[in-house]
Amino acid sequence: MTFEITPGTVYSAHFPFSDLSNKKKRPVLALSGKDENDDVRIAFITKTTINEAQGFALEPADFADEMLKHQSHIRVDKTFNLHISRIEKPVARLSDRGYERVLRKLVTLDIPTLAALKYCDKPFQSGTSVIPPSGKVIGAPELKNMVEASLDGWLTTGRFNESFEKRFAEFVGVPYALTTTSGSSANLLAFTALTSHKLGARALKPGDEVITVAAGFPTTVNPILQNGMVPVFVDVDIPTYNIDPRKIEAAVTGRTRAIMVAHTLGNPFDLDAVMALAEKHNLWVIEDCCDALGSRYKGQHVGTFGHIATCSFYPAHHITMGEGGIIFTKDRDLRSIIESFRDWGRDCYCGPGCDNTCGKRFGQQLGSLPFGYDHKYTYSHLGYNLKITDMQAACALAQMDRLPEFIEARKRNFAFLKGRLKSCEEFLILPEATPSSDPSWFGFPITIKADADVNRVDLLQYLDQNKIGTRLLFAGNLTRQPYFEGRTYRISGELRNTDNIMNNTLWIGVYPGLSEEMLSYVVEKIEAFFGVNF
Amino acid sequence: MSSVLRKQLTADASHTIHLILPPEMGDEVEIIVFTRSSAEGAAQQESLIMAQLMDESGFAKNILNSAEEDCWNDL
Repeated sequence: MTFEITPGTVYSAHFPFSDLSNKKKRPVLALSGKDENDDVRIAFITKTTINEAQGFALEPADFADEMLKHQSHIRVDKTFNLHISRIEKPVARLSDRGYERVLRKLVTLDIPTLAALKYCDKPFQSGTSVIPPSGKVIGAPELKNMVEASLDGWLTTGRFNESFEKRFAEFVGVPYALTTTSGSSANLLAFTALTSHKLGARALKPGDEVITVAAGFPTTVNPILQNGMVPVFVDVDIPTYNIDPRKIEAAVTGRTRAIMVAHTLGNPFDLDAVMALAEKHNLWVIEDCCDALGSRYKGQHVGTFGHIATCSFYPAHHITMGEGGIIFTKDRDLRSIIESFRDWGRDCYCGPGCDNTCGKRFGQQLGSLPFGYDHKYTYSHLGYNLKITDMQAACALAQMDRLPEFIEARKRNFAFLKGRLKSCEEFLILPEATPSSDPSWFGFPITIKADADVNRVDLLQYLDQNKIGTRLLFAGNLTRQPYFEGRTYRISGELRNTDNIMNNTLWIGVYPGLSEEMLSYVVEKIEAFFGVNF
Repeated sequence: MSSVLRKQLTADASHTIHLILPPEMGDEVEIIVFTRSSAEGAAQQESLIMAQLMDESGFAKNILNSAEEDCWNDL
C-alpha cells in the first residue's frame, strides 16, 4: 500500500473482507486514519436505498471532485474497524461539507436511543411517584436540534432562532415575533417599548397609570414599576381568575394610558370588554400570554388582540426552551422598537454576523454624533441585551411540532379533572372558562369555599404528603408581598376576590406529562381529604 | 461463568502444549489454535479473524453481498 489513509476519503475495499483473492470491491468511507493496530474506522457506502435513521444519500456537493459513479448512500449506522490490508485504493474524496454531514449524522445517531431511555414514561406508582404540577415534555427531536445547534458553533441567535420566530408567528397569526431570555424579559421589553420616543405623544411617561391585577405573577406588573409608572389594581373574577371586566372602567382616570394583564393560567380574559375600553380611552393593551399559548378567544389566538403580547418558554410552560420567552405583535414599528430595546438599544437592526443591512452604515447623522458614525454603534434607546442562544431556539423549534398535541392534552386533562372533581363542589369552587373562549390551560385552579371549614395549608400539606404537587396562584395579592412595601400604586375599588385567592386558592397540574391514571389518583386523594366517595 | 480463555503458550520439545483450565470453565471446551510466530503475524491473524467476523454479519451477507452492490466491483 503506497497511500496514507485520510479521513473523509472513499476507498475501495476487498469483499468479502477475509478473501483478498476475490474480485469483488465495496466502497468505504474512512472516518479515521489507521490506529496502532493498523485498523481504520470506516462507514460503508451502498447503492441500496436506506432510510433516514441509517444514513443519507450523498449529493454532488458532498464530493470534493468526481462523484462515485453509482447512487451512493452513506451508512452511518454501519461503522466497522477494517484492517488496512483490506483496503485497496482511494476512489473519491468528500468535500468538507459532505464530510461534515457524515460526522454530524454520526454524532446524532444514538440520540433516539438515549432519549427513549431517559425520557420514557415511567410506570406510575400510587403514593410513591411524584405528580408535578408542571414540567417539560422533551425527547429525541429536541435533543437532536440542540446538538445540531451546538455543532453549528454559532451560539448566539442564528438559523434555529430565525426558523422558530417565523414558525411561532405563523402559529399565533401575527407577522412579527422576537425571542428573548424569558417571559419576564418579554414583559419588560413589551412594556418598555411603549416608552420609546419614536411613539411621539403616545409614548408612556413616568407617573402614567397602567391598569392591571394583583392576583398573578410579579413580572406582569414589575415592568410598570421599573419604568416609573403606577400600577392600578382592579379586582379579579372567580372562577375565571381574570380581571373583572365590570370593574375596569371605574379604574380609568385622565392618567390611564395602558392595560397590561395576563390570561390567568391559560384562561383568556374578556378581550371584547378590554379592547372596547382600550379603544374608547385610547389605551395601549399588552396581553401577557405567558401561560396561555394556544388559548383562543372567539376562535382567535390570544395575544393577537392587543398591541403587544408575550409568552414564556420556561420548562413549566406549554413549550420550552429552558429559559426563554417571546414578544409578538402585528405592528411593524413596535417590532423595531422592541428589537432595539432587546439588542442593547441600538438603532441598527442587522442580524448577528451581518453588517450594513440598511445600506447606510456610514451614511447617517444621528443624535449629536458626527456624520457617518458607524450605525452598528449608534443607540436610540436605553436598552438591554436580552437575546437567546441558538441552542434554546433549536429546542423550542422542535417543540413547535408537538404543540398541537400538547394543547389537546392540556384541554383533555383539564376536562377530566373538571368532570371528576364535581364530586367536591360542596367544598371547592371549580374553574370556568371565560365565555367565548377555548383555553389551553396551564393549570387547574381550585378555591376552597368559605363555608368548607377547611384550612388551605392543611390541604396543601396533605397533597404534598401524597406526592401531589401544587402551586398557589403565584403572588396571590401582589400588594401584600414584601417587595411592594413603599411602592407607588393605586387600588381601584376593593381587592376582595384577590384576597380570597391569596387565602384559599391553589392549582394542580394538567401538563401533557400527566396520565389519566395520575389524575385519577389526584382526584381520589382530594375526595378522600374532603370525605367524599370515601 | 467465563466462556473464553486466552493464553499464549510455547510448545515443548515434543510439540505439546499444556493448558490448565480454570474450574469455572467446566469440563467440555472447544479449542482453536492460532500460530504466534511473531507480533506482526499475530496482528495479521487477528485482522483476518476480524474480517471473518465481519463477513458473518447480517449486513455483509444481506446487503454488501447482494447483486445490487456488485456494481462496485470495478471500482
